[in-house]
Amino acid sequence: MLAIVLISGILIISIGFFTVFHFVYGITDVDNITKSLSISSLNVTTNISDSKLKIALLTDGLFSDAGWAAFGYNSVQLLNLKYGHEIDSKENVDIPNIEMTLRDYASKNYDLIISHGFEWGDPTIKVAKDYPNTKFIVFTGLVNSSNVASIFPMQQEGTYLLGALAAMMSKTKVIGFIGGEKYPNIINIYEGYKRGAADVDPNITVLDIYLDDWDDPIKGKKSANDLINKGADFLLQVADTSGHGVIEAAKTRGIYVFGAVSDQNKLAPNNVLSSFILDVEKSLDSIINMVQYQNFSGQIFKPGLEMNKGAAGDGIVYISPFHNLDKTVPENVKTRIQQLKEDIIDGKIVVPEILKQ
Amino acid sequence: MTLIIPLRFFSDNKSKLSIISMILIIIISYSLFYYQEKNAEENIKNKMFLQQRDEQIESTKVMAEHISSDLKLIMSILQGLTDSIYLQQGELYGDRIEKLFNEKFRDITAITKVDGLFIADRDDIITYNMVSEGQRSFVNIDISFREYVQQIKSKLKPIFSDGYKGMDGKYKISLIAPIINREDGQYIGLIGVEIPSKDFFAHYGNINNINSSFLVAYDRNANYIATPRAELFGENFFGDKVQSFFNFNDIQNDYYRKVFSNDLSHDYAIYNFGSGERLNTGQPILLQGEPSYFVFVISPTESIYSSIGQALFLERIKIFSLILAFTLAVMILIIFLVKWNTNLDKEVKHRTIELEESNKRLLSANEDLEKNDTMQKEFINVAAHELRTPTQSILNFSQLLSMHPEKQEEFIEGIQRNATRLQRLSNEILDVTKIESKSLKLEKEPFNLYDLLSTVVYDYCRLMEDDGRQMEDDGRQNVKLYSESSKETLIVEADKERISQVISNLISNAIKFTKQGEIFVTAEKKDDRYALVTVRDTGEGIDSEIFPKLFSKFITTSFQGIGLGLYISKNIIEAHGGKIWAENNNKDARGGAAFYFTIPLIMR
Repeated sequence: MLAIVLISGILIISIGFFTVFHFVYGITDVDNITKSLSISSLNVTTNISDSKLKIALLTDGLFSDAGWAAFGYNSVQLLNLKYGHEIDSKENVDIPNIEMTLRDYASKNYDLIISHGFEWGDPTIKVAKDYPNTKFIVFTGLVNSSNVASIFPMQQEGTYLLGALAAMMSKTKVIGFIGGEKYPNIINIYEGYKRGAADVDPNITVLDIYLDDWDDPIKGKKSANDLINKGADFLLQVADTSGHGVIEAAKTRGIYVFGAVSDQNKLAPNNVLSSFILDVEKSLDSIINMVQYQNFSGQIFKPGLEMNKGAAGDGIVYISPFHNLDKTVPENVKTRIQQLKEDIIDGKIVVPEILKQ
Repeated sequence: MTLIIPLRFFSDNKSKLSIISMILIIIISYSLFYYQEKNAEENIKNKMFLQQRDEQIESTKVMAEHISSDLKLIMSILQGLTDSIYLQQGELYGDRIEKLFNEKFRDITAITKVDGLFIADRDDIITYNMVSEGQRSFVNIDISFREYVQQIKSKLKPIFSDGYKGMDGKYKISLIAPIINREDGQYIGLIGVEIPSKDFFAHYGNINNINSSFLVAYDRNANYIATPRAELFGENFFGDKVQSFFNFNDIQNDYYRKVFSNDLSHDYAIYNFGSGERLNTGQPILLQGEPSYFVFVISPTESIYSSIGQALFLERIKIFSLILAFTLAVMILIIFLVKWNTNLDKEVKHRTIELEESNKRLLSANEDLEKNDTMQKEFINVAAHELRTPTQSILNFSQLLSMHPEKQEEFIEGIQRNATRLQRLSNEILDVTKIESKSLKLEKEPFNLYDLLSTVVYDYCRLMEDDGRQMEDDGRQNVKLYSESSKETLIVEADKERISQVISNLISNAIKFTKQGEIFVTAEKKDDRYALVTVRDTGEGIDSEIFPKLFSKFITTSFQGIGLGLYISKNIIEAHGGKIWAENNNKDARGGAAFYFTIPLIMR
């Protein structure tokens, strides 16, 4: 009898202890999240956990686009290389199949699924409901739920700089923009570009075309030629594989063009003057850490501009160097751009987020 | 094939024995052949297998060398590129690079199918990617996660990479050359060629059909880079998945371990992991002096044996057809001999019969000859006897004449009569001689047969009157000779003398055999073509005994004559193209005999 009482007592005490411990631990987590609304605070976390995550990156783009999807591919490979996480990636998912693909991966017990593209937002929210144990991140998304977070980089801050650069260097005072599809994030990019141009030269004309196709270089080339024919001597393309056609047109017609998401100077070193780039390494690190240490919060993170790749601070957007075109950019222009960067990072210039036209 | 041996062939024991021994010899020969053939086949099979094995060992070696030299060639092209001035200056993309790469890319694709030729900068980002048709270019992809990137950065030497899963999910190997600044030795980046490993190795041998010889390839880590089994790509040979697939076969594992450790003390291994016996010949592919890949050629021994079996089967059919043909030839020969024998037998029999017949004929000819001889002798006897009688009579009459000259008339008459008889006999003998020597000559002339007949009958009538006394002496009385004839003329072309002789002969015969009665001699036309002469008597008729031989020589029942008359007559008539025959008259009527002959009329 005494023994039973003793054993029960020990049991009750240990359960109580465990509950309290767990509660305290949980509270600490919540505190952490509230404290770390900015990514930089999480960025410094070192890898102290041995647990390997199962991560998948899914995109409707092509890894061969040398831009957006290539950036996605690189980021998951980095996760594998750096942390040894088990990774998988799938490209070229048809947009109608997004939900099905998400479900397929979610059902395979992935710890983290990265939905790579704005258009993945709504399907991700839908699927995530059914798989509460899986965490989802939507890149360039604007959605969130308990297990869905989005990273919506302030790309307009990057394109603001490109717009300013184009406006300063354009001889025709006509510059163009070619977008893959009229998604809010693409509108945002365009608006930044337009604002940047207007801020340095109010008389500049900015033409825009949306292709409604991300994987058609021929369409891209044709639209680029249309804009060039209208006088544009600078083009910004944010159209993935279709953008290759824009770059090709620029190369043929001898005008400048800006790359998107990755440094696209390689595609036409004499024409791609610069690109706005997302910092691969910094982009995912923080999120992965949140997942790794089970303090994931379903937020929309909006990291902004950084001075250059891997620079301190929480920004993940930067513009690429001019490479071999460096000498063609006048010093005053370079100085002005440098100043604009600093002003944006310091908050002196605010490039507003505009999601609708 | 049925042997058509005549039953007779079996009939005697010797033949039976020879047939049985023949069959036995055939059976024994065939058994010996079968035994020999089986042994020979076994030997050939073993020899061919050894040959095949040695060939496979040799071809695997050659293949490994070939692969090695191809890979070295590609590497040398890459190394040539890394020395180019643009790359040395850090220009890792752009039009000039494209131009530079274009030609080299063609050179490489002439050696093997590649996915692409690429440059990565020192941050491991692909800056340039020239791709084959249908392949995608992967500029801006970060390849720092690739093992070879780490290796090349630490070694700064060309790398023949291990297998890895490419962006398209297929297994690849890459040949990587570092771009190192010649002056300061700084790492600038790398040039690489990505090769789909299965396609690459398929270039050197079958990699799809596991039912015949196929090849598999591994990298340094013993991971699959080429195999017909899609599920094994990238798997480690000694890993659980592969091992359980091969049922943890010790012989196989030992052999692989040896080849992987470049121990070439064994050229091959034969084992069965459960799905049939395999012959395996493995070789390391040596690059930069060390094994970088390993290639194994695996043959289901069944496939070797089946190919050998096919060759043997053909050989067997050839030999069997030869033997069959030979057997057939021998059988045909035997049949031919048997048939020939049978024919010979028949021929002999036939000849024997012929011989027997000719013997018989000879015998009968001999008999005939003897008969003839006898007849001849008889003839001579008869002739001599016949000739002697009148001669003797003449002598007697001559003696009597000299003794009794007074009876001269009587004796001379006797002499004359006998001389006449002698003459007639001589003539007859002469005629027979002529007939038999075929020298009887006819002197034909046209004449009226009726006239001739009348003359002859008339002469006989007179003769009969003259001989009346003598005939009475012979006991004959009252024989009358009539000649009846139509008044028409019967013109024939014939030997008048001879026809006259025939008629005379017939009439004299009739007279001889007619003691009392009448003799009718008629001549008439028959069928408008012949003249038919009939001599009919009322005498005693022809003796049935001599009837069949009536027209032969020496046939007679009379005391006078030697029986040549009818024989001569027959020959004369037949020489004229006529016929002569005789018949007995009806006894109930007047009896006697009738003789007929015909001779052709002259047709007008």
